[in-house]
Amino acid sequence: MISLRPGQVEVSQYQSGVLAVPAVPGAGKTTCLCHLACNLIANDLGPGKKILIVTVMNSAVSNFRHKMRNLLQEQGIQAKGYEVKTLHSLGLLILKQKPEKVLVNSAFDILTGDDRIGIINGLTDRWISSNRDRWQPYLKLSSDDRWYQRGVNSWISGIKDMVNSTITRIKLQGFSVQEQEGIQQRVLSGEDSFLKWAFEIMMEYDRYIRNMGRVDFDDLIVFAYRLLLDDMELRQRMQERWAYVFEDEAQDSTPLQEKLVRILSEKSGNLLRVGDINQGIMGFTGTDPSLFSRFCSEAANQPISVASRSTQDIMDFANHFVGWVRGSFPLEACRNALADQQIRGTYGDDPFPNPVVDGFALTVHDYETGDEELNAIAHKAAVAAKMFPHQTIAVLTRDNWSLNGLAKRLAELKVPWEDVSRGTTADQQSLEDVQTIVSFLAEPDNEVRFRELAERFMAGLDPDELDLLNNYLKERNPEDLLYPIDGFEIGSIPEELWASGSWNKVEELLFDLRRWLEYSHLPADDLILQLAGEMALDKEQRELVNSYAGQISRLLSDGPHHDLFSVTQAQELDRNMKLVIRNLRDRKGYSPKPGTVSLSTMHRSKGLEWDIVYLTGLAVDHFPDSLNQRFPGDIWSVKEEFRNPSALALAQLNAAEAGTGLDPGEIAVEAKIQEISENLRVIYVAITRARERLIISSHKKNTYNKVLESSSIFTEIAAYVKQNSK
Amino acid sequence: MVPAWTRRLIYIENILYYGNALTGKTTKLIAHYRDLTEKGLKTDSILVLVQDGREITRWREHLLKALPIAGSLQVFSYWGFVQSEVARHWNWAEKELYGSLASVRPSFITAEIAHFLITIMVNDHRMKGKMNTVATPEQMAIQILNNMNLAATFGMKLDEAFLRVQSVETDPARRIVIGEALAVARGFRKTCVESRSFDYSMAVEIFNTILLRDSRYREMLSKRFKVLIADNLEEGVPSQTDLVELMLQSCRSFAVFDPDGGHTDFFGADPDYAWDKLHSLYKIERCLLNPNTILADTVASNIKNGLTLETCSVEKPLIKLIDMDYRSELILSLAEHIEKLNSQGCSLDEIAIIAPVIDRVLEVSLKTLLKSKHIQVQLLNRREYLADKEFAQVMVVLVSLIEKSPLAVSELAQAFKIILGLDPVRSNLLAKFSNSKGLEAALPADLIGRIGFAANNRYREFCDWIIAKRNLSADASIFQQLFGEVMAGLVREEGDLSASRQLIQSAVSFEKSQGKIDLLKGMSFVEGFANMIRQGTIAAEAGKIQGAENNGVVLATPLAIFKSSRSFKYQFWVDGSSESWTPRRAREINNYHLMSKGWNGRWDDSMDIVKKAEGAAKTVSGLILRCTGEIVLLVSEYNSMGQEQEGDLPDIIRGSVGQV
Repeated sequence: MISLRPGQVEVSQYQSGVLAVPAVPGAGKTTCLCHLACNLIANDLGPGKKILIVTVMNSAVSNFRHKMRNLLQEQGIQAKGYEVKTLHSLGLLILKQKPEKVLVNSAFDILTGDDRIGIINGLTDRWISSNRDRWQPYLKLSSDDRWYQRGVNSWISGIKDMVNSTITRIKLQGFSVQEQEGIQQRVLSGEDSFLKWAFEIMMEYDRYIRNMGRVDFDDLIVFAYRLLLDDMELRQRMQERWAYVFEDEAQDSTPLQEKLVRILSEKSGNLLRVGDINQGIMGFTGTDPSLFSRFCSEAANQPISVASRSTQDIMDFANHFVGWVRGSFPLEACRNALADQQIRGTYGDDPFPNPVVDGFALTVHDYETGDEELNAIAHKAAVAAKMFPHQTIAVLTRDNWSLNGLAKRLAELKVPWEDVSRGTTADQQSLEDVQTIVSFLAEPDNEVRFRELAERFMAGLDPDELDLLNNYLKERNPEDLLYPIDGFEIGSIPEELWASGSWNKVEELLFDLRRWLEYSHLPADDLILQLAGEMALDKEQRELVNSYAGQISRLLSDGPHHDLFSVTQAQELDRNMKLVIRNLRDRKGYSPKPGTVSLSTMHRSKGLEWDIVYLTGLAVDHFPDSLNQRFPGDIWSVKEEFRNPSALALAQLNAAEAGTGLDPGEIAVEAKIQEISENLRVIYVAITRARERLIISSHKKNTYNKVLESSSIFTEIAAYVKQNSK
Repeated sequence: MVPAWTRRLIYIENILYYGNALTGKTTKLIAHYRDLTEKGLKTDSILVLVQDGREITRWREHLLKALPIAGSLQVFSYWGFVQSEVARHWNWAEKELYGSLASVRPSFITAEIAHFLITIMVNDHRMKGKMNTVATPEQMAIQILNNMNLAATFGMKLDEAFLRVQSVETDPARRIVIGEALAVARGFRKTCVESRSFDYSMAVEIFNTILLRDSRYREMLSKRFKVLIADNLEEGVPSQTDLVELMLQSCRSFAVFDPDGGHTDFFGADPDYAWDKLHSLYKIERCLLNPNTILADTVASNIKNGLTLETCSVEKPLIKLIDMDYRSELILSLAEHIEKLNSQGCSLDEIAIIAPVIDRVLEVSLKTLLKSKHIQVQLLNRREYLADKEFAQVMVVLVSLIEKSPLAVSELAQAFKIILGLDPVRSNLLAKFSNSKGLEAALPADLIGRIGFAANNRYREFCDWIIAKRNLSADASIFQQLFGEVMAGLVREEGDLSASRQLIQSAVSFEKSQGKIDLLKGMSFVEGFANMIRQGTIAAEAGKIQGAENNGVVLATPLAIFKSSRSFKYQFWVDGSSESWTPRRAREINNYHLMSKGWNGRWDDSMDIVKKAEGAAKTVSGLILRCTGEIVLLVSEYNSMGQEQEGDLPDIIRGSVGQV
């Protein structure tokens, strides 16, 4: 039997209507929502009706489903009456009802996020080469400047980012077809603007992917929304399907998502949205936490503020951070970045009380350089992993560059680590095994690939034997070993390999290779499935390899001229497989392993928790705290007011929608305020990942060894820790 | 062997055998045929109409066994009959169609060629910014072709099939697209008329609107056939039903109707129309009830009601559900089940694996897993394509070399492996060199060292031969030469011979079409033909369909199971939660449900739901009727692309058999 806490109790008594549930980190909102859903199902939703739970991540979907199944089983109820969806899978479900109504073929295929970027970037490159006169004037460098080419490259890369993000913004704004066409018409016939560039490329992009019978993730939601707008019968059917709509992580809603959940709950009137404005950190994907903020102020409101995740010290610090930002953050415009909410600890005989540790739970460290910081943190994490083998440990970074640096250092220290965004090592290895074989079969005369393959599959040999084998192979061509014309020279085999019996393993590999080479005339997908059939794989590994074959099938159906070699060169395959691995990981759910250091960016750490958390890089090169500092995403080579073209294009979109004018200078300032505000929320999210101990670090110099301004954020944290640790 | 009791049948009137699958209806028709011939009726006065080419083969086999002397058997599919009649009476049709007699024989183009040509036209439209839909040109072309076929078989003008779909649509964008698709259809029809190359729809239209309206033809038809035997009337398109009705004015008839059939509605089958038009013209003989009828009806009713209302308790067939997370687990589990049945002594041809969509991952994984247990998997009703035949691929490579058309290294390597007898490594080495330097270049010494002197000599000889051929004009005869001079000596098995034969025939046929159809004239013969082969447009051998022989476990779609007229002791339904088990027929420019003659001009969401449920109910109950032992429904949460599956078949089945 679940014991609910204050706040959770009130939410679980919800019966109908519109309710906002602002919940602090670690408040147990998943458990609470599941409990509520089970109660409602037990009380009978009506014939054929269900509860719809919409959440953001695949991992959250798995978590919800798992909990719902268990709770219902505990109550002796059949695990039915609910559907848990990500927004995209909800869009997919709706679109599949009647794709033809929005001119989508029922056999449509979904373009992955990375494929989409690849296509948009390709089209943008083409646009750039034929519109030099439009983008060049923004550069502040003259063509004889020695940094000119580098500046051009930076600007082009910025244009690509702008186009990608603006296309998403346009799609997720929730325009009807007529509204979008109207805006598009106005923009295309008006003065030149970044938005106009984005529209021009978007038209090309849409035409391109439509001709391939594909939609992207944004389209899934757009088409679903338009279907519901245009087809009243379908709209009614969908509204009747769900007696309740629950939206989790509502702070990460886009305007379109909000419209969609409102439409779906329109008839029943039962909409419950749970979120934490202070964890709204997905602004780069077009989300807007202010939407949930507005919802909270309009609807009935039931906050959940008791949480059992962290020690009192960590909760106090998180609460202090909120108070400091709201009351004293130097840039006044950012003081509303965090909502005024306090995390409260459990009390009484709560079965899951907050953890308690000896001493003060927080520590701060300031280092000279970022490099020094990474070295020291890697070392500390390594020591902690050994000292506390039963504790889970994470190092959180601002960006992937720092994360990769830490991974390298931890590997050097021989400390087990894993990147939370990737699959398990075993899954990846099995895929890499297949990829290595395929690469060799695609070019069997290539000596380097032959040696790579041998090295991979002979990894079990001791290092000296491996060296011997490698040297032996270097002196021979693949065909000499695989298909010797005049017979095999047994005398040439290194004595040691022969004596230890290791040569038998080489023989076995050669035997396998000859057999696999006989498959090389097969289409690439068939070949991979043949290989998979011969390998000992567990269920996840097999799923991964089958997905790889499935991706190749898709590639082959796009272009029958693809052969094995071109398949191995196809970058989209690599991109898609990364996504498959990530999805597989999400479905399994990520559970940190004690003794293994988890590495994550602060963004990706949302929804996770560890006993010990290292929060790194709290310096102004990663987290600027005033308007005159350099922002990580700024394009340095263009004039001041155009350094953030994505923000400018978004403002142009809003202005085009409202029919108002705009001032580029003001927009640039507003964009910086938004970025700093979101950064403050990122830090809040990272802080609240820690259960027992939180170690926060910063550095004084940037990568060019230039002394940085001191960070008001880190200064405040350091002062707080110093004062309270006494 | 025909059962003895059938000999007692006396045909004094038209008889319609009415009953569901596996109740012996077709056997009775065959018995009638035998009786008729025994009583002296000539076989060429008996017209037998069956569903498709596969059924023709089956009927011919049965009749040849049953008849003491076989005359000329008149066993046709509707399409085959139409084609043969149009060709036979071309003079009458030509005059009506063109106003004069040019005595140019018509040619008939296959569905694949028609699809290929319409795809080119859709592409042209797309280049002009038209047909703005989320669909590949191939997908659009299939819909256009389908509308044309529906129009012809439902007795409508070509335009009407498009205009009906347009009439129920309020969205201006979709209305425009439908109009643009109609323009493509008209363009294609114009091409057909001008080139006298007829696709299915055009031939059916000529047959119905010219020949059947001509009293001379009708009279001739009534004299030619005394008896009409029609198998599976429920699978007939409306124009076939009209033909049967017309023939019944002068013929005696024996026919079969399965009330649970109509599985080929996608191709225009209209069982309701057939029943309404014909049942009063026959004496109805009801066949024995299939023992699975109760369960089949319960499941069908639950699907149609959208809710699980009824539960039925039956002993057979047993239905089991197996839930898994991943698709790969599902395939493994399936292989294990089959292996277990095999080890228990179950005959492999009693097992069917049924999936709504058979993708490569399912097919190849299953074959690979079961091959190691010496269990064969037969794909039922899947046509093989020349693109899959290694021998045909090599011939295309040789012609491309003669024509200097671009080739991939892998294609060349494969050809060298077969022609020069090299191992895969050395053939790849050689392919890389010749692809970059050309066939004229001599091999460098280090390369000769790697491939060996003997191989170098063979390679040089081969290159000289190809270079010499470059003076010849590249037409279809080049394939004959290639076969005679090179490939004949390399034939390893019968399959190589048949692939070569089919390739040569296809080349001749493509060349003819190219000579007639403007759309094909722009491309070089070799390039155009090679592209069609590579895109899998050309079938390996007409009439040869995999899985016709009972050999191994069957892997099939539900439709292929229905067409096979086979039953199975064990059925494994794969991808149970896939929405493909409950497909919808409405498409962007295409909607079968709007084509019927009695259509009331309406189409809305509730009709859509009803039609979808009816289709799914028909499929599922049809399969249950064809199972004599056990059905295992295998369900995975995610499909082969890693997407969640939403289909409600598992819930319906669970409810119907009272399982949780």
